[in-house]
Amino acid sequence: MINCPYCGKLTDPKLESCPHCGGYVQKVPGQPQAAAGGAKQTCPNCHALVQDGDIICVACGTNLLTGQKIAEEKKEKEAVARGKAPLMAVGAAVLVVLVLIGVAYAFYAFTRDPVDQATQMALAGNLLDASEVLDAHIEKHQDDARAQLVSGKVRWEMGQFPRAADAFEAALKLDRQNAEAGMLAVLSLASAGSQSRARQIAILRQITEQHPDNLEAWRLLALELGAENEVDGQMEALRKVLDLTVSPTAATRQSLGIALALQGDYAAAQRELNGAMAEAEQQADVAAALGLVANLGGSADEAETLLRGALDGGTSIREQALTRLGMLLIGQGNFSEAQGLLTQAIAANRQNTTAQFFYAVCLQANGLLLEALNEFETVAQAGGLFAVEASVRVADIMLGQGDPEKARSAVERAEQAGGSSAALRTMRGRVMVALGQDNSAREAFQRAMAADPAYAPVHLEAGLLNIKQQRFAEGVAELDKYLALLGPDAQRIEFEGVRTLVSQIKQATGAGGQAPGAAGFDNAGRNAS
Amino acid sequence: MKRLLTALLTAGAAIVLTPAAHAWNPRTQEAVVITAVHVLSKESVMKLDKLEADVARGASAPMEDVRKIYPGLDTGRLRAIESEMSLLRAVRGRMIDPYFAYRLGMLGRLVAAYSAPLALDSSVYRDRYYADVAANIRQVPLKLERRRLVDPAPYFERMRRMADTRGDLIVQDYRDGLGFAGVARAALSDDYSRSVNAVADVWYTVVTGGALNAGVSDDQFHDYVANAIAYYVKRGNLNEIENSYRRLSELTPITPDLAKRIGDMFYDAGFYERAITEYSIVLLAEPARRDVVERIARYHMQVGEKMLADGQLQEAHDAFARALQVDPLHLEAEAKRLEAERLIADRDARLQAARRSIEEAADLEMRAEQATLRNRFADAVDALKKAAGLYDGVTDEFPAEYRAASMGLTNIDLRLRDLKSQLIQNAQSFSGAGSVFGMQQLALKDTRQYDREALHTLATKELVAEIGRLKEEYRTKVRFQ
Repeated sequence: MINCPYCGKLTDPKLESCPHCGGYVQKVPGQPQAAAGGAKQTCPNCHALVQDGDIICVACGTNLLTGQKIAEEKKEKEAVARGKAPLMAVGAAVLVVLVLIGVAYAFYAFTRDPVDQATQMALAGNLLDASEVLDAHIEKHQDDARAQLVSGKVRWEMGQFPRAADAFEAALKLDRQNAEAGMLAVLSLASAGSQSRARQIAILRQITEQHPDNLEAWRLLALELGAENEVDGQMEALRKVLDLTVSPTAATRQSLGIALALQGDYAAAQRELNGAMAEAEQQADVAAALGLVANLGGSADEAETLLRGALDGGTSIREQALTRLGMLLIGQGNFSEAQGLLTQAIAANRQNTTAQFFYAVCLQANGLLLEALNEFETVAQAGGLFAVEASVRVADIMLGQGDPEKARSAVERAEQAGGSSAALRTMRGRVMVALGQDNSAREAFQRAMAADPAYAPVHLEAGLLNIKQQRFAEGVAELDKYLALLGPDAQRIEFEGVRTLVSQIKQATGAGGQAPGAAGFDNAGRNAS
Repeated sequence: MKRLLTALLTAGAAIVLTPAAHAWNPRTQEAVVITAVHVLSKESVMKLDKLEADVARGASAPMEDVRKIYPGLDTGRLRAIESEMSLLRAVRGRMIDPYFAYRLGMLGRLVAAYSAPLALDSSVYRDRYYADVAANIRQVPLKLERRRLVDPAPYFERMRRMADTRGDLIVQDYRDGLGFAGVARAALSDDYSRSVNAVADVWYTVVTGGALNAGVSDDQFHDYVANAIAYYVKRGNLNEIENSYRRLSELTPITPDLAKRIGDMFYDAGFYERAITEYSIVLLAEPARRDVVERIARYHMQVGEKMLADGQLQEAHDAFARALQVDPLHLEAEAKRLEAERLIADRDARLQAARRSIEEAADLEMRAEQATLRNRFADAVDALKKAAGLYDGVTDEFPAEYRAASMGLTNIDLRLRDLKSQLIQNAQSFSGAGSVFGMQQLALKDTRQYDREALHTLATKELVAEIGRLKEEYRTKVRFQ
C-alpha cells in the first residue's frame, strides 16, 4: 500500500489512479496530465489556482504532472547529482544527518501518540500490546474518538466482539458523524451473538438520523426491526430504502413482502414477493415466503405448489416449509405423504412440536394408534401450543380403545393445563357419555357450544346423545346444525354416513318434520300399547 | 147302557179296592221289599245287594208310575202280579240289570201289599193299624220259611187266608180301644214275616223258575224295552244305554213304532244323534212316515241354525243339506242351505285375502331384513310398518291365519325394537367422526400463526445473511495494514 500523492489516503500502488481522489498514482511519462487549452484549474494538493500548462504549483511546489512536491523531486535529483558529484560524501553526511533528524523526529512523534503507537503495534501483528496501550490511553482519555475507533478495530481483530462493540459505540458517541464506527458497532454486536438486537436497532437509528441517506444503515435497520417483529418500524425503514434506491433489489422486495404479509396485507405481499422472485438469484426462499403468504391468504393449493418448489430449490426454512406442506396435505386428507414430510421436519428439529403434533395426527389417521398415542403424549408433556389439543387426541384414542377412564384422565390433564376450548369440552362430553353419565355429558356439550357456537363436532355429539336417549327430534336438529356448520364440506364422502343417519332417523321417526314410514318405532298393529 | 154299567162297576170296584194298593204303609212295603233283598242274598238265591238302590227305587216308585206299568192294577192285583212275574221270567237274562231290579222292587211292593192283613178291609182302623205297624216294624222278629216256587193262584189264595185270620180280632181290638197292643202286636211278626217270605218266594220264582214266554205279548215286551230304555235314558249314562239297548233288542225285534218311541225318548233327553239313528230305523221301514221326517228335518235345521250362529258355516251348510235330504220339500232348509253357501263363499274370499295379506307381509318382513343388512334402517322400518298393516287386517275369523298374523305382529314389534336399538347403536358409532375433520380444519385454518412465525424465521435468516455480508465487507476496513 502507498499513500496517494494527491489526497494522501492509502491506495493500491498497482492501480493507475487513486480510488479516493482520482489522481494518478503512477507516473505516465510523455503524457501531459493537464487538459489542453488556457482554462484555469486548481492544484490537487493545495487547491490553489494554477494555469493550464503550469507544471509546478507556485503555492506549494507540487509537480502538477506527477503530483509530487518539487522539493522532494529536487531532493531526489540532488541526491542523484551528488552521487555523481565529488561532494557526494558531504552530501551523504548531510543526508545521514537529515535521516537521523527524521528518525529522531519520527521516534518523537511515535512516542508522543499512543494511538499511533498502538496502530503500529497492530500493524506489526502485536494486537495484545496494542490493546493494552489503547486501554491505558482510553482510561485517561475517554473522549478520544480515534483511540476508541482504533481500540474497536483491535478488539475486532482479536475476536473480542462485545468489547469491540463497546469501543465502536463509544467512538460513535464521541463522533456522531462516524457512520463507519456505528456500523462496526452493530456488526460487532451481531457477531457477539448476545441478545442485543435492541441495542443494534438503537445504533442504527442514530446512524440513520445523522446520515439519512445511508442506504446500508436503513436496510440493516429494516432487517433488524423485521427480526424483532416491529413490523411498522420495518415498513418505515423499507420505505426509506426504496426512496434511496432507483431500482429496489430482490432482497429488499422480499423483506418488504414479508413485512406486508406480517401486517396482513397478503395481496401487496404477494406483489412484492413476485417482484423479488423475478429478480432473485436464489428463488427458493422467495417461493417459500410466497407459499406461506398464499396459505395465509387462503389459497391452499397455490401454497402447496410454491412450498414444493421452495423445498426443491433448497429453501433456508426447509423445516418450516416441510411442516406447513405437511399440514396442507393433512387438510387435503393426504395423511400418508404428510406423515413423510412431517417426519423430515421433525428430523430437522426435534423441538418442532407443531410438526410432532401433526405427525401424530397422521399416525392416528393412518390407524397407527399406539404410535400416535406416544407422539401425542410427548407433545402433551412438552407443553406449548398443542399440549392441550394433544391431550384431547389422547382422550379420543382412549375412547376408541374402549378405555373411558384413561380418556377422562387425559381430559382432566388438559383442563388442568388451562384448556377450555370447545374441542376439550366436547371431548369431556364424549367421555361422560362413555361412562354413562349422560347428564354430565349434556352439560359439557352445552358449555362447548357456549365456548364456540360454530364448533361443529359438538353438535354431532349432542345430536348422538339425544338419539341415544330416544329424543329423536332434538337429535336430528343438532345433527342438522352439525352438517350446516360444515358448510360445503358436509358433502364430502366422509360425512355421507352422518347424512344417511340423519335421513334415516327422519324417515324412521318422523323427526325433523319428515313424515315417517308408518308410526315410527311405536308398536305395530294390534300389539300397539 | 152295558158300557155305562161296566164303567160304573169298574169305577166302583176301583174305589173299593184302591186301599188294597196301599196295604201296608208305603214305608212298611219298602221295608218288606228291602228285607226280602237281604233274605235272598243271605240265602244265596240271588245277589241283589249292589242293585238294592234300584230295587228300593222300584219299591217306592210313585203310584202313577206303577199304574203306567200295571194298567190293570186297580182291578186285578193278583193278575198284575202274575203278569209281571211272567214278563220278568220271560225277559230275565243271565244277569240282573238295574231296570230288572227296579221292576223286581215294583213287583215286591205289589206282593207285600197283597199279603198284608186287612188288605181287603175297608175299616176305619185299617190305616191306624198300618201306621202302628210302620212305627214298630224295626223291632219285629222275622220268621223265615224255606223258598218255594210260587204258583200264584193257590199261593196267594192261601196267603190271603192266613193274612185275614186275625183281621177281625185286630179290628175289634182297635174298636175296643186296645189298638195295636192287642192281637196286632202279637201277630206282627207272623204278618210281617209272611209278606217278606211272599216277596222272596215270588222273586225266587222269577229268578229260578223256567222262562215262560207264553202269555207275554209283544206289546208287553215292547213296553218293557221302552220303559227300560226310558229308565236308562233318565240315568243319562250313554254307555249303559247302549249296552242295555243291545241286550233289550235281543228280547224282541225293534219295530218302527218301538224305534219311534225310543227315538223320541232319546230326542227328549237331548241324545239327538242317537234319536236320529232310531228315526232312521223307522224311515227305513216306513219312508213316508211324515212325523219322523219332520222331526229329523227339524233336528237338522236346529243343528244348522246353531252352527250358523257359531260361524261353523260348512257344518251349518251340511246340516241344512241333511234336512233337505230327509225332507226335499223343506223350503226353509233350502233357503238356509243357499245362505250358508253364500256365507261360505264370502268367508273363503276373506280367507284368501287374509292368506294373501300374510304372504305379502312375510315378503315385506324379508325385504326389511335385507334393508337392515344394508343398514338402510328407514327402509326396513317402512317395510315392517307396511307388513304390520297387512297383519293387522287379518281378523280372528280364521284362527290359523289370525295366529300367524299375531305371530307376525309380535315379530315385527321385536324387529322394530331391534331396529331402533340398531339405529341408536349405529348412530353412536359416529361419535368422534368429526375429530379427523376437526384436525384437518386445525391444520388448514387454525395454524396461520405458524405461517407468520415461518415468515419471521425467514426474515431473521435474511438479517443473519446481511450481517454476514456486511461483516465481510467491513472486515477490510477494520484490518490493520
